[in-house]
Amino acid sequence: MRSPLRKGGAPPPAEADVEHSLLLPKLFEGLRDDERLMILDLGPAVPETVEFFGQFRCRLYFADLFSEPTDGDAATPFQTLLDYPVQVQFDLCLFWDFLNLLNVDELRAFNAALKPYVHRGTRAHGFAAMSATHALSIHHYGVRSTHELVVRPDPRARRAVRPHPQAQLKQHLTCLEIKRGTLLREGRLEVLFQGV
Amino acid sequence: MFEKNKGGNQRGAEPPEVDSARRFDPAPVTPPEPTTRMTAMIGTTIRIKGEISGEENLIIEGKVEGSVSLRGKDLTVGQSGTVKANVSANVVKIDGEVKGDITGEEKVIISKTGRVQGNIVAPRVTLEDGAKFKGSIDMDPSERVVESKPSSLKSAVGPPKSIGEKEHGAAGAAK
Repeated sequence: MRSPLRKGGAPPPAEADVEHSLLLPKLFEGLRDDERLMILDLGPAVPETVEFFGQFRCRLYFADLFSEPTDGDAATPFQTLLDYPVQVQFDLCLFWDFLNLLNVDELRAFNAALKPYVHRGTRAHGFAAMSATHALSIHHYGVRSTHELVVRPDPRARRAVRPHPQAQLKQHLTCLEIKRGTLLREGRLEVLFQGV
Repeated sequence: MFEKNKGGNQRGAEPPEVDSARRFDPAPVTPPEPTTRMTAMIGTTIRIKGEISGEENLIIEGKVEGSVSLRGKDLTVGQSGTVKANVSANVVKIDGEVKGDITGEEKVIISKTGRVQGNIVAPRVTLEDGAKFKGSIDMDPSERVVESKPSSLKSAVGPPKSIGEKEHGAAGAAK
C-alpha cells in the first residue's frame, strides 16, 4: 500500500488546478485504513479521486446526477440516484458543489434520500456560500491528497446555481450537522459535516 | 563468394545442399507452439449474444451481450467495442463502452476514451483523464506489494503548521 503520508499525487493535467484544503484533512482524521471505507462522491469520477482512494480498502460510489445535459431544472430522482442496498452506510460523503445546484425543495428531497445511508460517524465535505446572493462558479473536484484538491472547470451544461449559506444547509440538510466552516475567497464556504 | 550465396533463392541459383541423411529421416514434425496465438479478437462487425469464456487474451472491437469470463487472461474492449455484459478477467482495459459489472483479478483500466456504467471490483483501478464512469468501485489494495503501511490514516492528516488550525475533536468514524 502506498503511504497516504505522501504530500501530493501525480502532477495534475494542464487544465486542472491544485488547491489546498483546510478541512479535507479533518475528513480523514481518525479513520483507520484497516477498515473498509464506504465513500459517496456526488461529482463525476475523476482520476485523482480513484487513485487516492485506491490506497485503501474501500467501496467508492459515484453518483453524479448532473452528468447529462439538462434543460433547466431536472426532476429530482434522488431515490433513484441513491438506490443502494440498505446495509450501505457511508463513512465519507463528498458533496463538492452538488448542494449548490439544488433548490430548497431539492435539498430537502436529497436529505431524505441520503438519510438511510448516514450514520453518526459519517463525515461529509462540501462547498456552500457566505450568502445566497454570492455568484459561485461550479467546478469538478478530485482528491489529490489528504489536504489537496484537484479542481477543473465544469464542462457540463449550465444549471442554475443556488448558493446555500450555512444556515440554510443547517435547516434543510438535517441528517448531517455542520462541524466546521471555513471562508474561502469570493464568498465560498468550505464545510465539514458530521452525521447525526 | 559471399555475394553469390546471397542470391540463393533467385532463379538459376543452385539449390542449397541438403544432407542426405537428414533428407530421408522421417523425424516427427514439431507442432507449432500453442503460444503462437495468444490473443483472440472479435472484430468490429461481429455481434455476439451469449456466454464467452476462454483461456486466452481477448480484444473486443464488436458488440457483445451476455457475459465474458477469461480466467487469468486479459480483456481489452477496443474503442469501437460495445459490451453489455458482466465481464471478468485478469486485467480489464476499457477503451470503448461497457454496461455491466467488471471484475479484474489484477487491475481494471478505463482509458480516456472509455465509458463504463456498472460496478467494478478489482485490487487496483485506474481511471484516465476523460474517462466516463458511473457506478461503484470496490478496491482492496491488500494484494499489492506492501511498501509501507501506516497504522492509521490519523497519522497521515494534518495541514501545514502555518495554517494554525486547532483540532476540533470530531467524533471517530467507528460505526
